[in-house]
Amino acid sequence: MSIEDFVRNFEGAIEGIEPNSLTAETEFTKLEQWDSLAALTVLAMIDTEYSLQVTGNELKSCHTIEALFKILSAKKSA
Amino acid sequence: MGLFSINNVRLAGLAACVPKGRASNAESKLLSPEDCQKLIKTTGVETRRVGTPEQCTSDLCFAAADQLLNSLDWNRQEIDVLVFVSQTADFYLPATACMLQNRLGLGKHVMAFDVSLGCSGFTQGLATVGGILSSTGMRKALLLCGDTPSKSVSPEDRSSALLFGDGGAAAAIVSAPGERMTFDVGSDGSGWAAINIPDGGYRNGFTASSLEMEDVGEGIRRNRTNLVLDGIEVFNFSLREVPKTVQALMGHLALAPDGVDAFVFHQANMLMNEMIRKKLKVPPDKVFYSLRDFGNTSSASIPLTMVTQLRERLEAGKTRLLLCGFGVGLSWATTYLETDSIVCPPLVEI
Repeated sequence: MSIEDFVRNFEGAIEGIEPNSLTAETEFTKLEQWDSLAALTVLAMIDTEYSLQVTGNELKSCHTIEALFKILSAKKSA
Repeated sequence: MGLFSINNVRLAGLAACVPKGRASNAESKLLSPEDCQKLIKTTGVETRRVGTPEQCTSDLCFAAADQLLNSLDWNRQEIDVLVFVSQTADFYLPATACMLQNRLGLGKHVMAFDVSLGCSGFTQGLATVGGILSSTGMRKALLLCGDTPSKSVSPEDRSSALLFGDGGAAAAIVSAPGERMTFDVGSDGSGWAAINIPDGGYRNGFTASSLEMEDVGEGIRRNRTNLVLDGIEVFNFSLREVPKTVQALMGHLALAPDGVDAFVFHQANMLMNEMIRKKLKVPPDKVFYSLRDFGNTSSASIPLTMVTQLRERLEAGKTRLLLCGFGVGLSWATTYLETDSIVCPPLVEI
């Protein structure tokens, strides 16, 4: 799994986000489109693409896409 | 052991009832028009039924049961068991089931009690009622289930106000030699807080501060008598447990999706339900939904979907059904049963 792919998947998971508009450093919780529904569609993407689950607390602890990716990477290698 | 069969019982009839009052999610003032459309697309819920302040779950269940008993042409004195499954009972006490025994004109010999469950309630209720009939020799039972979430959800909580609808249902279960229902059931109370109402029980009694509105962020304002729904935890729970319980039951019975005519899952939301369907590799034409018109109606959602989407088929002949309820508790129950020309009157609206 690569951070580049994850950023593209993240963009695809949230309605109203332009392709290639986000980066690993994007603070996703500050996006206009970020809400509880967007959180669910991102979790759905993570489950579908990576077969991983992220808890609510883990998601809340992340501000950037990269931070979320790091949590996934740690889970994948665990 | 969560896996078991209940022998010598069958589902004889099913009816459902919703309030006439409708709420349209597209016209909700909680969200912008764009966000309303986004919510409809993700959750699959376009309209919901909302009862009047006077309409209780028992009223919906009574109307469904009355219609069902008339359609079955059952002698009401022959009913031995009445179980009411709900999280929105009429009173703290007595049990609503006892009041419904009288209201439905059933005999005084009836065993009547309430079960406090929500989204898993219909299938848990089938196991409860089926188990009683199978082990006691009693012959006829009514399972009533439903909820009026419109009374517990904060109208200013955009995480849940647009998801839930009111509904009630009634199922007739009879002893039937040679018939069987098979179940996989489970509970995980470690997740109790994912769906809860904080105040008003005996753990946190009702006080003046119970009614104070709190802003908890993300467009959610509610008081401590309102429903708290942690969408992420419920999502993770459902994706973790539902495929597992369905696979356990299907594996136990050596069933493939081909061997089931209709899968009816609790109507949680379209995003989650479709992910569950895909994980189970069940073709879309075998999975039935009533989410669009009724939203999530708690323990009524499975029978309401059966009545509105499968009625003619259920009345016409044999149907192999796999039903799975999951949610508040947290808890779940999955059942496989075969029905044959059950009595299924059209949806009742009051």
